[in-house]
Parts: sequence; C-alpha cells; structure tokens
Amino acid sequence: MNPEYDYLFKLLLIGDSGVGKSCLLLRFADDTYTESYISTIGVDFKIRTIELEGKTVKLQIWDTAGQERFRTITSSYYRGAHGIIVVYDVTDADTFKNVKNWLQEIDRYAVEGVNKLLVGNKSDLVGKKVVDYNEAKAFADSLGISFLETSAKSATNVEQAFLTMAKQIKDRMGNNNATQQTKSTVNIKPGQPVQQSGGGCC
Amino acid sequence: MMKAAQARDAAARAKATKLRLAREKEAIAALNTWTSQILPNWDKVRYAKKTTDLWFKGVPPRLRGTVWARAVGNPLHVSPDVYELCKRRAADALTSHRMQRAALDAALVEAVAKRTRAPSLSSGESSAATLSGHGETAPPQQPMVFQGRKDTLDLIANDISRTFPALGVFQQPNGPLAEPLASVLEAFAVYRADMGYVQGMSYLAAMLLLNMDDYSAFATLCTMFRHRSGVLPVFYRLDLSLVAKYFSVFSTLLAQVSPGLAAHFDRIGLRPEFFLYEWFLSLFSKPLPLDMAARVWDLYFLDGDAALFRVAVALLRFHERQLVGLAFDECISDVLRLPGRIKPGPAGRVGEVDADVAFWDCVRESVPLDRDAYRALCRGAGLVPPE
Repeated sequence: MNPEYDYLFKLLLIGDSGVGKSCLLLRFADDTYTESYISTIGVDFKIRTIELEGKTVKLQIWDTAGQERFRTITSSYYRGAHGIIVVYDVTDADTFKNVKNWLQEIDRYAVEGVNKLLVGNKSDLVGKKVVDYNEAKAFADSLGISFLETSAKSATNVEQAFLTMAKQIKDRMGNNNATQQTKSTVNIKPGQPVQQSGGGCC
Repeated sequence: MMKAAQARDAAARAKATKLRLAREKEAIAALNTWTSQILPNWDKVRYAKKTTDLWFKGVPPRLRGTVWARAVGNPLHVSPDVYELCKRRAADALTSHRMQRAALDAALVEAVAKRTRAPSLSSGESSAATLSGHGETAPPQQPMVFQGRKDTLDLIANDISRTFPALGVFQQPNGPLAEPLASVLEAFAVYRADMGYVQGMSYLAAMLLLNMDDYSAFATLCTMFRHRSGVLPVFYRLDLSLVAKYFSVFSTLLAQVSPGLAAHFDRIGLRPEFFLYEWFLSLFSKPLPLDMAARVWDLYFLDGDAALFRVAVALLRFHERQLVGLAFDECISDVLRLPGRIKPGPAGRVGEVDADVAFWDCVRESVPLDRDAYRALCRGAGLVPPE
C-alpha cells in the first residue's frame, strides 16, 4: 500500500522545558540549528525517511511541550509511540533529576515494551556541564536503556540517537514474529497516537 | 514577442503600483477616521456598522494598543497598584523560593557525600524526599504558583528569550522588552495563581507589549482570561472535557464551510488537537507572520472567541485544494506550516493579489460567523459561551 517505505516508526520526544527537544528534531529532520529557538506549544511534528540495513524506514516524530501542565495532552501521544526519547540538558541537573519522572510517565502511558533512549543534550557546552557522563550512563545501564550525549548545535550524535532508536525498534519488531506482520501493524493507523480507549486516563 | 512580453510586464507592474498606492491612501483615510471619529465617540459608535467594517480591515498599527485596551475595558478594575503588588509578590516568591532550593541543594549534597555508595539518581531523589520530610509516594506539597516539576515562575525566565526570537526585542540581556515581558508574566502568574504561568502565555504578553505599556498589557491579559468558559482560560487550564467541546465547535464549522476537507481529515485521522492548541493558545501569534497575527487580534478584540474559529477554519479553507489529496504525514506537516505562508505585501508574481488580501477575503466571504451564529454553535456542542 505504501511503496515508499518498508517501515513506519512513530517516535516521541519528551523531557523538561528548554532541554532542546525541538532543536534535536530540527537538526535531525532539517539539518539546521538556530540559537533563538521558539518554545513548543502543545505538540509539533516532523517526518524523515532513513535507510536502515537495506530497508527504507519512515520516522514520524512527535515533539512535545516540556511543561508539566501539558502532560494532560502529551500523555495521550505515548500510546501510539514505538520509541520514546527522553531528553535532558547536561548543563542543568534538575532536568536530569526529572528523567526519573519522565520514565514513570512512559510506564504509565506507553505500551509495554516500547523502546526507550536517554539523551543528554547540549554536550557542546563543556564548561557548563554539570551532569557527569558516567553517572548518566550508569543510570541508563541500570535500567537497560541506551544512552547518548548529543549536541543539536554541533550536530554531534544527533543522527546516531535517532538511528539507534530506529534500529532498536526494527530489531524488536523483527523478533516479534514475521516482518510482514510488523509492517501491517505499524501501518494500520498512521497518525493516531491519541486514541484513549479504555485505561490511560489523564 | 519579447516586446509584447515586456509591455505586459510593465502594465502589470504599473497595476501593482497603483494598487499599493490605493492601499496606502486607504490606510491614511482609515487612520483619520479612527482618530477623529471613532475614538472620541467610542461608546456611541463602537458597534456601528461603519466602525466594525473598518475594524475588520485591520486597526491602524499605531492605534492598536489603544483600541485593544478599550475593546476589553477594565471590568476587573486591575489598577496600576494591583500590578505593582503582584510584581512585588512574584519577586518575593522567587527570592525565597530560590533560597529554599539553594538550602535544599546544599543539604542534599551533604547527605549524598556522607554515603559511600556512588550517588545514583534514585538515591539522590529519595534523600531529597527524606530531607523535605515526605515519603517517596507523597510528593512535597508546594504553593500554587510552584506546582509542577519545574516551578512555573522559574519557567518564565526560560521562555523570555524564546518568544518572537526573530524580533530581538525580547531577547536577554539587551532586548528592551525582555524585562517588561518577565514582569507582566510574573505578575500574571501571581494574579492568577490558580493557573500560574503556562507556556504560550509569553506570546500573548509579548504581542500586547508590542502595542502597549507593561501595565496596560498586564490589565488586558487579566481581562482576556476573565471568563471561565472562554477559549483562552479553557485551553490554558487544559480542561479537557471543555476543550473537546470547543474542538467539536471547530469541526462542525469546518464541515459547514469545507465539507470535502472535513471528510478528508476524518478519513486520514487528522484531528484538530494536532494543530489547534498552538493556534489558540498563542491566538495565532506563533504560527502567523506578525502583521497577520496582529490583524487576527484586531478581529479577536472585535468579535471575541468567534474570531478564532473563523480564522482557523479560513486558514484550512484557503488551502483546501492542496490539502485534500494529502496522506496524514504530509497533510499534518502542511497544516502546521500553512499559517507562516500567508504573508502580507506583494505576492511573488507581479500583479497577483496579495496572499493576505486573498486570505481576508476568504475569512469575510467563506467563513461568515457573527457572535450569534457562534453562540448557537457553542450551545450545540454543549458549551455556554461567555457573553
């Protein structure tokens, strides 16, 4: 039905306000960066198609507002996501401390087995860095989550972050029985991450 | 052949110049009417057809602050004293809160240092909970303005420079309006402690500050949030049951104005929540070019919430033909970026009608929605719209 791609994965970016979620997305989808980025209101959306192990993968990426208040609407986007990227700012310890809360949100709202990735952004600001790489890495390891430090500004590791996520989802889908089935489950309802049938309240 | 083409181009250019001159002349005449007839007789002529017709065409930029403030009035009696008081309370709260946090952080560092185990995230969190005398299960209770993971007053500082960055005026440290923007938002978060600061408000306050002084901006902002059931308070409270009703008002209007597009959106699963939050929370000042957004605000101060639905539906109607064939991904991407394309001034090709002129014609002709029609739509969706 969709000859342009083999897989469609839905990704979600979450994390505190101002950690650079939109900048990461802008870097990944449009390969640009701006110092003066605008704060996100509600949700934003971008797509990019990548090649992964000989397959064409379309990534549908939802970017969310970081303020706690918006959880009531953003939480409904968790359900349809195949992968969720939790972002913190390496120069702001609070945003790292809150990663734990964001992970709880995932447990609460996302489907079981959803792929997770921890990203410490703004790694270019070496002088202002307060969250130690090893501490974050140990934390991610203890939870069995992949971890990367990125810089949307210098483009360091941004591509890798999204590719890591896509690869993990693809591997998980591959394990879940036949690829064919994966394709159809993924393709059934593109762009319906907000279904709130049953459970997931807010 | 060449000569004929050149002659056509010249004729088109001449026509465009003539049009521009006519627009300028019209603008001068409008400014005169506003200053000499409407403003001095405000109470008498405000609702006169001649006034509202002129108003629809856009308030002269230099009179916007005056007209907007007059349009909302000051029914809550928000005086300069109230503004000063709220500003002071916000400053006090920020100071004492930051001191508390500093003390807590220091205690935390000490507590963590006493442990032999490497400080992990979870041990840090639990010691913070212990120190503040709360168990893991019961998060510390905080005063209203500080609710949330990131305190709402602290969030303001985060957003100041991220508001209309292209303009430069709100960018710290040198932007002349950065400090007024912080003051208005902090004072508002105190005045409306039930809501605090919510992202999106920085655009509202900034838009007001571009047209009036900080006290007037504060008073106007307070008044804009006056009615509990109005679009702004409902969307900013994220009162989801009422928000859903407003979405249904929108969908009904879209189906009336553009049934083909409404059906297409249904088919591909594109729902208003994907784009209306940003449009409504910022009253279109984030997605639309600034001049266009200001005209939307003119209409908002003329017609109230009805204007928001009109503009939203017109934006889609205006681009109906390009949207109807698109699959979900392309369609939502386009919808999110549509407003940015409606720019005032001469359009790309010589002699073509300006995009903004064509758009406003679309609002007027294709989406007529007066207050009564809007109220009927609201009632149909189970809403009781404010007077």
